[in-house]
Amino acid sequence: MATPAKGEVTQWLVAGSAGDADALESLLPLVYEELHRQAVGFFRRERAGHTLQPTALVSEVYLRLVNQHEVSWQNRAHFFGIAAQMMRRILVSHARGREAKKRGGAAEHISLPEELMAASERDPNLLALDDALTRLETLDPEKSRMVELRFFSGLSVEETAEVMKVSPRTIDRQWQTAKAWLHREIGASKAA
Amino acid sequence: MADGQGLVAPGNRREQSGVIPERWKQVEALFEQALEVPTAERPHFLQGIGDDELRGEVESLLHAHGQAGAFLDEPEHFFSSEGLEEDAFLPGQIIDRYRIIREIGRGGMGAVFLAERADQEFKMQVAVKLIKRGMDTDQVLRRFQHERQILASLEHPNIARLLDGGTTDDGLPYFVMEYIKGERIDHYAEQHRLSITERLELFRQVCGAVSYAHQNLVVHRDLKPSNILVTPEGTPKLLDFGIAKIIQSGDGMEALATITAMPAMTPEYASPEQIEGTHATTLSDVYSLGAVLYQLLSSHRPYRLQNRSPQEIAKAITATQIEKPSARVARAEDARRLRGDLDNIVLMAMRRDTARRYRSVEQFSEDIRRHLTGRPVIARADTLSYRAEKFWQRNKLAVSAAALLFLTLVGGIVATASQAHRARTEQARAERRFNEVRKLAHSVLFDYHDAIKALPGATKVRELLVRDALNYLDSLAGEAHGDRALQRELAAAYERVGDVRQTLGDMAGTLESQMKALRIREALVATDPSDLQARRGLASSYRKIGDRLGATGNVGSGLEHLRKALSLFLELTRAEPADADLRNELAETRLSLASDLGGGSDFAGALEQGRAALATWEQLVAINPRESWYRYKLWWSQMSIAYTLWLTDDVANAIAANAKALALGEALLAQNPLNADYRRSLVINYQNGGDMRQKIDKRGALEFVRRAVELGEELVAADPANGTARKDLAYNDKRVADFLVELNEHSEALRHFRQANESYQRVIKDAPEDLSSRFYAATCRAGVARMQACLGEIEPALEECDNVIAFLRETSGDQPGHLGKAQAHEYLGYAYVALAASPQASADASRKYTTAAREMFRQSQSIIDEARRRDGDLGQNENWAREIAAEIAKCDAALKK
Repeated sequence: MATPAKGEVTQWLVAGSAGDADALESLLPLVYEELHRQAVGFFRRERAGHTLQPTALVSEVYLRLVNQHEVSWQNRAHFFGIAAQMMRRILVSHARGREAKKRGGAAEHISLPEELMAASERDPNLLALDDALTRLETLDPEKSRMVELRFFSGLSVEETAEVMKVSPRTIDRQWQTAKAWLHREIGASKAA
Repeated sequence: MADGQGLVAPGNRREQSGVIPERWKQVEALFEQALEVPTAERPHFLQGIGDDELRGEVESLLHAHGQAGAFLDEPEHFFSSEGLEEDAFLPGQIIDRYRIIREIGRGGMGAVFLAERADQEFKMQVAVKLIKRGMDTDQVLRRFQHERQILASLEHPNIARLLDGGTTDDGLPYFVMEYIKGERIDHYAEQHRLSITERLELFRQVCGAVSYAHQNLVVHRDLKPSNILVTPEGTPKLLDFGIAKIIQSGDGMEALATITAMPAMTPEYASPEQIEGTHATTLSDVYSLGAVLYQLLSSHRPYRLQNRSPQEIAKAITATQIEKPSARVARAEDARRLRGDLDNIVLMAMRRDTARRYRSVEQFSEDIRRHLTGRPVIARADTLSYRAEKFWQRNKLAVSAAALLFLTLVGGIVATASQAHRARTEQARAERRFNEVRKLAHSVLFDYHDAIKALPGATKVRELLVRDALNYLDSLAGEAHGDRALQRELAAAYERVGDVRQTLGDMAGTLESQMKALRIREALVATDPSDLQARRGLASSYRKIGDRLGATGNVGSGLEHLRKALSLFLELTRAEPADADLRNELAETRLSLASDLGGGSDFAGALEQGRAALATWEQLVAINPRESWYRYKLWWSQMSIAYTLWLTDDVANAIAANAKALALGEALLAQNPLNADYRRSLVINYQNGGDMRQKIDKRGALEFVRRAVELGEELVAADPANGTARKDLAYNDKRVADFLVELNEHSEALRHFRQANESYQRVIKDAPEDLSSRFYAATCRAGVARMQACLGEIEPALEECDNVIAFLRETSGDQPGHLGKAQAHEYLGYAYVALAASPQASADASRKYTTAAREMFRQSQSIIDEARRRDGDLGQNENWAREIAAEIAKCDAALKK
């Protein structure tokens, strides 16, 4: 797929933050494709001794897709919100695919670079985190979303606050809570 | 964790236990409150919660909170933290033949265990390094098989031996190494409060070990303090030699898998070229050792970093200026000790450009020794010419000795490379050696070339170098398909060879090599447009080719290439505004554009580009006043502006601008008196000064050209094989003669025409195909004839004229419209005019000479007409054509009498 023109994504973002939900929705495949593409490019450029950093990928995709002069702070945050979901989806579906493959099952296959698969596979914690996050979502969707934003998109406290439309102070507090809860959940599921 | 009770979210332990969000809100509120309470008062706070379920929930969250630490705070750590349980080994467990005693370390690539041989009576302790899951095990093992013998053969008191390796039953690769009981070198130095001198001595032992490995063609690739242990006896031991190579693959796609597999490998000590993804060489180890020494001396890592993310580190290593170690230490006494030599030594090892680092670990170590023994160190000024100068001063013989050594090395390496190459298909191991050799050859070829290039007398060696390098590159080129890293390297190598050929005056060869580089880079960019490094390379190729085309008269095509280069560089500098090298290249492109635009009479465009280039270099000089390259280019851009002004007939401003340029150039040469480039540029600068005064101040002009001759004589004396220098000298001798003619100083003029002719004859002897020089020689001889005629030596003058005419007749037809040939005829015309004017000539003879003169001028004119038919308007030369037409008219007038 060709890289979408910067202007296109920018337009959608502007419309999306003005309350047009469809606009945001139409961003998803674009962001997904570009993240995917960037993930490949990222590994090609960066060589030895590097950690996979999904947040870095997200930032790069943002720089590529969005015309920053035309997009306000809030729009930027929206973008990262979407990207966080995508990043989580990409990493987790692969970790799952590999797990299934290991067990000999015919896993649903999403074409992702080997490198990224290795990254997700490497970490069983990722699947545990994903499970825990899904559980948190039923209990407290806001916190689940906040973790997604901060963890998978690399948003700062302030940026997260912007997306969530709460104060940074609140995010700080919620983060402590979510962290403790998730840590407990993951630890408990491991012990089981 | 004992928190199974209470209110738990739906999950695998309790099937959708139906948590009531309202209850959760309560838990959350209580938990947050509890966090506000000082730890000591928390039990009291908890007791206050009446509801057991709620209290239990808050309690377990508080417990988790206490344990969570940085959990989730740093995603990269989360992603890189291996599922630790997966490969945890317990004491007593056996890996192959080794019984685990305990875990002694855990890092990015896996865990290290203390172990002993399980099947032997004597208890030899070893370190077993287990590579964690997630890597391509087959690859690692295959590489290990290839490298194992070489690594096992590294026997050095400061290198931990590699003993064994294989895979566990679970398929995890492992290495068995000599077990070293010791501390990291930096910790050791701190704890034992080693003095600076003691630290340097210790570090030199490390250098000795690395140097030994390099002699055995093993590059460490991952030198860092945690890989250098010091035993209680004070002996440093290097760990993991060659392991990085095995775990990371060398090139291409294979390497991708390992990036993710080696997350915690800290890049802070990695060289810029490793960060950028090109091959690690012995010079990469020099860099990493520099970084280790930096830390050892200053107790700080080389870069000030905010969050230590790999991206930030990579950016720091490739883009920021390293602070001097002395600037990082707290105590004034330490700063004093580090300032000067030690700062310079560390920073020289850590130079971004490999060509400007120490050439070897040995040299690095030797420089430390010099410092310790109070001798001057190599690392002082940040310039290559400084080194070259010292080198030269020490012993002139050393230059040829170095050249000899160099040729031996190159010859040996190329032979080894091609042998290894032939064996490649038969033996996978040969391929690996080939790669090593390729890298070594690459660094030797180019590093050596750089080291000798500024030295006078190097021409012959450099020509041989080009020949060998080309043979070698052409043989590699066939193998490069699909290997981007190799293609990139090849393109860079062709570019460098092109650069060398250019300085040797081989214009067709230059273009050929640069075109090879261009094609490779075009393909690289076409297959991956997001590859910035490739775009940069492409821009550089466009610039160099544009430059060459322009210089060889192909201005239209040259401009086209230069404009492509300009737009690429503008795009790249916008993305990386702080990158000095990029800005430098942008300015270089503008300077070439200025020259070509000026040549095409677009003077406004030329001035605009020239001034923009000048401004960039002024900024770069301001940022880095000791970088002589920027000063050199500043000088050149000033010269270019002056020359363009002169072309627009703004003589006064041209002269003023040229004087500014001269001041810059003289200062630079005074600091680097052995630099042939500076001297040659100064020749041109004086030459231009002469041109500018030509019409308004003949005596002044003469002085300028005489100075150009003096400088040229020095150049030729220092490097007799340098054809370009000789040609420049001959040209200026001729120009001095021209001025003397106009000042009626005939015998002086005669001497200079003769000198010029002799120089041209030497050039022709070395390069018989150089047609221009042949015509110039003919011109000078016609000048000799003219002066003889003026001095009354009629017979010799006539004889000379006959010889020149015969020569021109022989050489006719080779290249129609050659302006050199037109000039030779013109000078012959003047010679006959002088003969006709001689008091000794009879009226008949005079008439005969005038007829001959007219014929010569007419032939000159018809050659110029040919040139005009071919090239269109001749620009500056149109004036000349008018002068010749005037001479014909004069002859006609004389003949009418």
